[in-house]
Amino acid sequence: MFGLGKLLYVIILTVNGIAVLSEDRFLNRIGWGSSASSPNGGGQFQQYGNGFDQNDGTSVKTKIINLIGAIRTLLRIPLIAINVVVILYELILG
Amino acid sequence: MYNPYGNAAADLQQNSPQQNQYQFQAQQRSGLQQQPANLQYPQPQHPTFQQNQFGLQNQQHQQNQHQPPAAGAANPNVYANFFNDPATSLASQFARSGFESSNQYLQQNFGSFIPGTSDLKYYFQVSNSYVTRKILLVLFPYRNKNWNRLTSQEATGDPSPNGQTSYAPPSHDVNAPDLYIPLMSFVTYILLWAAFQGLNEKFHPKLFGYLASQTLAFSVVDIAFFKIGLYLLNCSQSSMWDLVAFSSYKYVVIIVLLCWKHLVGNGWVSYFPVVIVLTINLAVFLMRSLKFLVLPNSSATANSVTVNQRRIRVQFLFVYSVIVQGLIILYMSR
Repeated sequence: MFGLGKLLYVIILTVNGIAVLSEDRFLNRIGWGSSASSPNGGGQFQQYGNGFDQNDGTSVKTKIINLIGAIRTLLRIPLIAINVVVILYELILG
Repeated sequence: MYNPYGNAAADLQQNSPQQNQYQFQAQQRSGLQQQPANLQYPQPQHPTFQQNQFGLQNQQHQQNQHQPPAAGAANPNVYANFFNDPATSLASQFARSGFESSNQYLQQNFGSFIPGTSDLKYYFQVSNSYVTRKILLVLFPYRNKNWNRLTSQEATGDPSPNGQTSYAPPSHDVNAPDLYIPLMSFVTYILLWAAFQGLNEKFHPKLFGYLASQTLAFSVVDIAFFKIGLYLLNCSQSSMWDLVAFSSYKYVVIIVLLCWKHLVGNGWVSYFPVVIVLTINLAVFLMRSLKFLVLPNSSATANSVTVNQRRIRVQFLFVYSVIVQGLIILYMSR
């Protein structure tokens, strides 16, 4: 049964997964690093390549990269606290 | 503030100093005690009425009876006597300013998340005709001609007070989202499901909790998917409650499906076509209603999107309306 508790665990685990993505070991290798992202995104998002001269100039890929970077920067420390709480809960109360 | 000794402060020279001091303390106590109850009402100067109000403080009854001529004669304004008291006025000003600043801080930073500080009254200004038309629209959206939301100027004809164009409330505009139908249909769905489980003799009271938790989890996932999609596609940021409202219209469909399933059973011929038809109707309704969120309307030419982006956005809207809602409906009406 898929309830709010399980949803909370799913969210915490997903955000944990995003937060541990390493910048230089993984993201840069696949071209998703924030330093390596160029205005001309590759692959199937080629049509957004000239995005900088349009509405606000960010393509889907750039937004995802920014989102991952933001999650990593902002949520690393709160995630430590949340994970400790969840681990203690699981240890003590099963 | 209700203050039978109000004129005691004004006519200082008539009373003894000792009585004055005592009355000042009594005034303070009475002010702090009775402040909320008596601000609205005109102050009656009847001594017996004062006695009934002041049942706790027995010593003052005698002084009440000494007071009636002075008290009853001239007391036009109760509020002046209230603010004459420095302690209560200071406390009330401090509390008011503190509350306002904290409310403002909350509203600026967390206004979209906390239900109490955002403008929720807009979503509950519904009328009976709106509710019936909206439910019929969710179930059969093909007769509506104009899907644009009206602004408050167009609906009532008077300009908005603060200069911004805001949308008309649901009672004036059938295309406006509301939170009454979603809330009611959510509760009805849970109760109906529990009732059907009871008819199958599988009811236990914890079922309510399970169902509510499951439904809320699905709705959180649903709204999160749409919100993240809007963010990634650079759509203009919109109100969270709009999304909650539009996403929760599927409970109406689910309720109808539950009732229909209980009537005709789980057959392929009678039940599933109804599911398909209602899902498609809901998808059309959602696609037409959410168009104003995803695509720029015709008047905004400043940030027009390219053809490709437009196609991606329409595809996203389609995926959301049909596939996500369809899966959720199928799962929740089993």
